[in-house]
Amino acid sequence: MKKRVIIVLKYMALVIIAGLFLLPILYMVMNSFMPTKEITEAYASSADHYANFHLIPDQFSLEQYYQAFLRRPQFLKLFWNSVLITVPIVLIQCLISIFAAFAFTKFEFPLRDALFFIFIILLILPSWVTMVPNYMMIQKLGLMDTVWSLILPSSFSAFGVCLLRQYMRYVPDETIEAARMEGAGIFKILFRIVLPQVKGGIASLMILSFIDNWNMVEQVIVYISDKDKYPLSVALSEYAGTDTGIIFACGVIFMIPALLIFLYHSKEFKNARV
Amino acid sequence: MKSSLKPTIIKISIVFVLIVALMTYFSGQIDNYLLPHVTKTLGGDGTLKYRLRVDTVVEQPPESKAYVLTIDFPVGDIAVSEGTFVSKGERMLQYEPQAFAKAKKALNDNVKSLEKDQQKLYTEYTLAKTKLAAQSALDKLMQTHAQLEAAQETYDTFVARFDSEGWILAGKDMEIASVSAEIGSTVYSGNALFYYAADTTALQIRFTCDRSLGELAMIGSEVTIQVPLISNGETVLRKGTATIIEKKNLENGVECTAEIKNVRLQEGEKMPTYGDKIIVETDFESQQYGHIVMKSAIHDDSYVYVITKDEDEKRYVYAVPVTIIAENDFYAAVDMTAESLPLVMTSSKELEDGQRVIVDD
Repeated sequence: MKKRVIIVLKYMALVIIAGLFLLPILYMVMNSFMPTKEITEAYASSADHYANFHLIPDQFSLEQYYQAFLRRPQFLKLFWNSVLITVPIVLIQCLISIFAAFAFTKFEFPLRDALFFIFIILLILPSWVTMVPNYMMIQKLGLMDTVWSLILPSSFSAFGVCLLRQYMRYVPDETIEAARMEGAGIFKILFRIVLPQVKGGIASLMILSFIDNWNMVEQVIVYISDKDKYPLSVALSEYAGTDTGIIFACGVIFMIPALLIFLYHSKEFKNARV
Repeated sequence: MKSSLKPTIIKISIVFVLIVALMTYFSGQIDNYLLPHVTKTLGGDGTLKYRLRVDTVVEQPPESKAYVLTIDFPVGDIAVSEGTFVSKGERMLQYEPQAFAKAKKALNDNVKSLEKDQQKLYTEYTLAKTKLAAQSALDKLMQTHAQLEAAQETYDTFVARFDSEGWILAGKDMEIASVSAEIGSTVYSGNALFYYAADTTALQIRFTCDRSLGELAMIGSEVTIQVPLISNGETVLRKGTATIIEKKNLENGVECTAEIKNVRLQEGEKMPTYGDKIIVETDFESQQYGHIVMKSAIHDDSYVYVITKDEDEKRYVYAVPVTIIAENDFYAAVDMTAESLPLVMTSSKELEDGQRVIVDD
């Protein structure tokens, strides 16, 4: 009896916590089906009252999606800006992290551990600390106000290297040795032997890297001045000020790519040992 | 997530990416299809034309005609009397000298004051630091310019009537039938100063129009007439002109008397005679207005949509209230802000304030 009560209480607590985490997303999705007039009336800022909390729409409408997809071509272009920035970062980051982690795990070379220790320190260092030297370097390279000013610094991730190194440590050396004796080269060993065993880690890295860079804000504000080159993560805050009527639909559309990537890799993500 | 759902996720992702890609690629065409298409018109200063069309008949003129002014006339001196025969250019009646000088000065001062205002507004316009300030100054400048032109015309007309000492001069040789003015009195606008023997061979017509048109029909102005004649067994219309010689206010309109001056006849055709039908078809021109727009641009008689452009060359419309000062069938003289911006004349869809539109040039 006591055990059952504890189980029920546990589940209740979990449901409540899950509910609290899901509430903002549920709120955003439900509000995205409100007509724009209802949104502007409910959330118009006023000195007299706070915004009205509105979960269920008074009138179900797809007007926000119609406005976002068909009447705001600028919004779609900003979406592609986000894709243009995020996809190269994720791909380059994964590639570099795979090679670096493989080197750190399966190769012996001078100062290997000291170098890896530096990577650990980089993990601890906040990104804003390196922002000024990064800015100076990008300015000297003439990459200011271009997407490369966002892609290049973010492509080199100490976190990715550390994450994949942890996965690759569990790949048995014997399998690599056996493959070497069979005549396999380094790249064959990496792509045929090691990578299939660290799929979970790569999936985790892709998801985390995608989400992190999809939501990039500070670097954009520092390196990009042309508003047409802004990704959606920054432009959404402007929409909140000028185009409140469609902001929820824009948020849902912004959320969809990250959600799809997570769902696709969720099995590997769950099975992975982090 | 089960592996079997992975293909579904891929399909959803592909569909999502395709939809967004197609919407982005065709966003221009979609905009073109969904956005309202408008045609524009520009207002400007000018006059309103009012068309008069009325049927009447040729009348025999009275034995004497009245000489009427459209301004109040304080009588200073009279040089003619009943039975006097005056030649063209002779002095007849004098505007009271002090009043004449005062009236002339007042009209001249008005012109000079408007010239100063115009200069001041021009300086303000050239030195304006913001687009909004420049727009506002330009609107006021154009209004003042219209007022200046009207004031100048009033002054010129006043001065043309009299000689330098305020005497009315005879416009032609005539015999004075009677003098209704007295020295020291004021003959008010529209009343006869004196009567002179009419040319009984003249052809005269009389027609009535509503008060607004009547105000525009000035004594001495020409109206166009059409004279129906039988020529070679067919009814033809011949154009001619008549000059308004008299106006009389009626209870619900204005009665104008005009003398037929000429008719463009062809060989063998005769001038109309007493009792013949005449069609008066003429346009009267109003005073100068600062801003005239097409009536189709005005909504609910109270607002128009002005078209603005942002830095990306996109066009937006904004509702601006207007006050109609005068109107005819197609145009209206209005009072509004942002007069120099183009207005929406027609739209393919209902417009909303602040909406983006496509302007068809």
